[in-house]
Amino acid sequence: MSMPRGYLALSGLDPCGSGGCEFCVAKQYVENLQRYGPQWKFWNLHVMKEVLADPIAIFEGLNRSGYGSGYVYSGLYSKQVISSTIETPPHAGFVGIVIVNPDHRGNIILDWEWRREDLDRPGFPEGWQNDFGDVIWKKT
Amino acid sequence: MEENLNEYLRGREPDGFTRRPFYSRDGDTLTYYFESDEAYSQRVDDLLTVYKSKQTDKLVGCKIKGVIRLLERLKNFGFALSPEGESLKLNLLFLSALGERPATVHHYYEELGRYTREAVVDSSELQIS
Repeated sequence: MSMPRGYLALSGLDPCGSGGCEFCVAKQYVENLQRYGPQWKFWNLHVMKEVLADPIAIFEGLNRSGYGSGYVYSGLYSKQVISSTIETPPHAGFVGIVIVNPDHRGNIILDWEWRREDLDRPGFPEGWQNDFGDVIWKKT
Repeated sequence: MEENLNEYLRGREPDGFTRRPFYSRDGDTLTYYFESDEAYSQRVDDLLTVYKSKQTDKLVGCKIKGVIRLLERLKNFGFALSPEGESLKLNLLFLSALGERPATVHHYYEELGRYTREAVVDSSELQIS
């Protein structure tokens, strides 16, 4: 499937947990972050790439109307990027999540965020039982 | 030509921080950070996610979902946003959502209504067509 116009491509793990697939994020969203911030979210685009490529768990369903077939990737990340020259170890107690909605154009990334980590399930976000649909894949 | 995120980001740095709502057509969401603190997300319900500072837990932003439907509802009360450059106070979206929310989460909507009192979204931002 070709990338829709106005989107930036990146690769990651297929939602089924086997093999790779393409994702895309609206260029306008990235440009907006670069121009208006917050800066940390722009720098943390790298977290999105890491989580999509090597998640701990994938959930199906965003638990909101019209987005039942969306996916949430959750995982840990290797570093915290502060600026182009400063990187620090990741914050303990937080996971990165990436929210994806597949449509006729491909796997569209809606957002990427930090969540508090579920203390009982490392790599899972706090509240995953209520916030998202079923776990369709988890790392073993 | 297809563009790759990694290539696009090479050499780019963020300019700074400006309070400005951003509408995502893909997600039909409106995100607004009113502080630049690094933040984590906490889902309140299917319409609202709040962002809290990782350092202080203070509320620093929000994401409201189902924006088009909330705007449609506001039309019933005379708040219409046409494509011709009109603007709307952001906190009206929280007011629009409040009516269908349980009382247990009203405080989030009301608090955000206060935080976003001065924030304005215009029709070009929302890409209404």
